[in-house]
Amino acid sequence: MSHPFRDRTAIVGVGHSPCSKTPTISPYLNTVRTLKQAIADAGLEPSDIDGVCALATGGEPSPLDMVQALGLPGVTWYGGGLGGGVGPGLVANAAMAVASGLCTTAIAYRTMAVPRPGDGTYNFFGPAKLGGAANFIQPYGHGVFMQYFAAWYQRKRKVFGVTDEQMGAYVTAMRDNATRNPHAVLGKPMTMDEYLACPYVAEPLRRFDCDMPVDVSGAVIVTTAERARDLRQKPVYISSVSTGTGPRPHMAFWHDYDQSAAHFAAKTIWKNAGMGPEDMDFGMIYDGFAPLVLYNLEEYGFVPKGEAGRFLGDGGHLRDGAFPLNPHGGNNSEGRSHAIGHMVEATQQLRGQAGARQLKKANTTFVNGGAIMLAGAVVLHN
Amino acid sequence: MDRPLPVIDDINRDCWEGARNNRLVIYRCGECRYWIHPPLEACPQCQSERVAGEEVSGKGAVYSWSVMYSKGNPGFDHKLPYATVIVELPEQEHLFTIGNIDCDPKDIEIGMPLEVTFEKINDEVTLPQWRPATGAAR
Ligand SMILES: [Zn+2]
Repeated sequence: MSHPFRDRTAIVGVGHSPCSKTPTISPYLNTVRTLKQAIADAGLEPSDIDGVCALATGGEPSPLDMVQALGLPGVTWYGGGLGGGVGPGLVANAAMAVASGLCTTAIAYRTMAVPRPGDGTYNFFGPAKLGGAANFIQPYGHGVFMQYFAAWYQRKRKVFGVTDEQMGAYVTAMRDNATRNPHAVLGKPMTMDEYLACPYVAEPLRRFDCDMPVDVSGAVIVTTAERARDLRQKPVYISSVSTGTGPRPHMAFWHDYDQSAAHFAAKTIWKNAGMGPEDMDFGMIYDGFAPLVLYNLEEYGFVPKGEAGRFLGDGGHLRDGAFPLNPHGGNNSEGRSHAIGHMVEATQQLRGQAGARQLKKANTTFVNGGAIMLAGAVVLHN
Repeated sequence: MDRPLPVIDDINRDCWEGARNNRLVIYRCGECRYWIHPPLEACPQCQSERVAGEEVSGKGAVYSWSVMYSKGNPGFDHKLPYATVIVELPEQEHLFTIGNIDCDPKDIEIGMPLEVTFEKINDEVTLPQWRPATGAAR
């Protein structure tokens, strides 16, 4: 029997700001412009929006800020929470609200910003005064986000035999894909030798494995499938959504580094979609740190456990490979958007509007965010 | 800037008092005997609030590690590069603690046996640290 959520909702509008490595306009204004763009893309008016889903972390304007900014007269749903890996998790939130009748048309967005003068060291988790788990981390100099990922990646490499060349095959392919993406901040080709010469930020993680902080905003509008058919764009139907996490949700003290949060988000996504990983034409796989692709490919069933490194080494992820990944270059090369960029690109590919990036076969796709501690996923078709 | 030091409170006091006396102390549930680290006010397995520190063996094994090359941790920028290890304690599967290790980072391997050491910072704070286990007898 079909899952009651399946294909009840569709993406009808997207917006995506330029990406910039240096500060541009305020995150507030960037969000307002991007939401306007998404609403226009859908052929809607702001007054049609009655649901707003966002995270409101890291300087991002809150759902309430955007209700005011757009003058929304009748919001009946606003939310976001931890966001299930952010971009896809927020779209999941919007789709659930629409499918359950809490609102008719919801907008999900994520806005990121490079540090402004006076902001703290980027991604250092430390308050001046410690407390909680930080008491047992920061006195040892393990308080920078990428160190958590580095320790995960180290274990992945040693237990499953992932090589530098396999990770390099991923990153160099993203740079190549990004040459076709006008938004991308790292849109120049990179050779394997350049990748291998890249210094470590936290061994085994190289600088080129990490996405670049940027000013960016992305937005996705979700409405009912019935309503979607009357709107401007070809509907992109949402087959299923999921989020998940493990029993000890802390990236350093996580219960098992060989079983990431994606494992839990994967439990329901395919059954509810009525499709499997083998039915996806391409993958929009979260890569805020490039090695996260390994966990996501394996946990969502695109390759057997331990085989993701070999898949990348064999070029399965290339534009003309067996299962193309991230034709826009991923967060790795486009810029850090917590996978809202993946959501926008997925929509444009399924509409056939991806221009120079357009894949030959793009009728179904899987989008995910996060991997290690928080995970969210969306299955889409046109 | 000096490295941040733990703020000793009612939730974690047993750990830091233990370390001050050169004993590795981990919180444990008084009901179901589950080990809890970092400490919490209630046991995540049975929700009992009867949790208290108990001394553990002081042995461990490398679960994973990374070598930091970037600035950003207060008090550590002059030590780059340095290793931080995720240590699995033998008292319970996947019971992890984090520390620095007294060896060349190139010699670290997953599963490598470790033993605890203690680094006195001041009269209040001593940090449990790690070194390769000295001989199989230990
Ligand atoms: Zn208990």
